[in-house]
Amino acid sequence: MKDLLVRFLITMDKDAKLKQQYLKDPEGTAKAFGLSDEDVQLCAKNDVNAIKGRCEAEGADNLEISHSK
Amino acid sequence: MKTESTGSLVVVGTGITVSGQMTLITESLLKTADIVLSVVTESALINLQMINSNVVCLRNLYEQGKSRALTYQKMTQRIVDEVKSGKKVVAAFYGHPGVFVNPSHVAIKQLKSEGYSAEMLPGISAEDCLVADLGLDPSHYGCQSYEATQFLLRQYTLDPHMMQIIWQIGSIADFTHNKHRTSHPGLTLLRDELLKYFSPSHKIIIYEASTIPIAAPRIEYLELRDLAAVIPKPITTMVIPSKGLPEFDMKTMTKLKLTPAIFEQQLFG
Repeated sequence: MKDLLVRFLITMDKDAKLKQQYLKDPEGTAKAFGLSDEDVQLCAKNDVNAIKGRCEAEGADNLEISHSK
Repeated sequence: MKTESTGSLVVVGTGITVSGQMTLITESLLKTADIVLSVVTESALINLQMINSNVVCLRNLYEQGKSRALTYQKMTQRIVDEVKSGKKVVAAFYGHPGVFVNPSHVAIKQLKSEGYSAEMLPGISAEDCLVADLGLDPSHYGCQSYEATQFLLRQYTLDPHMMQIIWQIGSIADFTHNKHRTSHPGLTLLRDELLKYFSPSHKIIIYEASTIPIAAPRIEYLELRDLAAVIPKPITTMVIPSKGLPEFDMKTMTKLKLTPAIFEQQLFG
C-alpha cells in the first residue's frame, strides 16, 4: 500500500460504523488504524484540503469538455 | 458474436467518492477480470489495486496541451487491443462510465460491430450526488442539463420553468484543460446569458460533490447577479432552481377530458 491515509479513507468510505467512529473521535480512530503521527494530526485538525490533496480525490482532469458534433 | 474464449469488455464506473459508491456487480466483475484498464483518481486507483492485482492506469495518456481527441483515441485503442488479445477486460472510469466519457462509448461500439461482447454498467455520477445532496428532484419541474461551454456557444433554448444544471462552469472555453486557472471571464458571459431568463435576484446553487467520506459537498446559495464572483474548480456545477411550473396546456387537458381541478384532485387526493 502506497499511502495508509488513502487506504484509511477507502476503508471508511465503505464502512459506516468506522465513519461514525471517526466523526466522533478523528484522532483516536486515525491512531487506531495505524496512521503516522503526522497523518493523525491532519485528521485531528480536520485539514480536509490536505487530505483531499493526498487522495487526489477530485477527478477533474478526467472530465471531458465535449465539443463533438 | 465471438465465442467465450475470445475477449470481452465490461465498462464500469467507480462513483465519485474514493470507494463506497462502487456497485456490488462492478466489484464482482473487477475481481474476476483478466485486466482492469482504469481512468480514475489516484485514490480510486488504489482501491482498484486492492480488488485486482492487474490494473493498468491509462491516465498517463492525458497530456497538458495535447488534443483530448487524440488521448481518447489512444485509450479506446488500448481497450480494444486488450479485448482482441483474448482477455476479459474491465474498463473502469470515474463516476458514471457513460457520462462525460468518450472512450467507453467508442470502444463498446467498435467491439460490438466486430462481434465481441461489450457492455456498460451504470455507476454513480455527479448528477446522482447532486440530487441527493441538494434535495432537488429533476422530475418535479423537469430538468435541462448542459456542459457550460456548449451552453454558451450554441443557441440552446432554455426553459426557465425547468431546473437547470450547468456542468464545468470552471472550464468555460478552456481548451488547455488547465486545473489552476485564476481568471474565469466565462462566468460573466454565463451570468449575462442567464439574465435573459431569470431575474438578478434569482437564487442559484454552486455545487461540488464530496469526494472523500470526511468532507461535506460544496453547496453555496447565492443570487444570479453574484455569479461572476464565484471561484470555481473544473468540477464545479451550477444549479438554477425552476421559476415554478408553467401554466396548464388547456387544449391537451380538454382532449384528455381533464380540468386543472380534476388533475390536481387525481394527483393530490
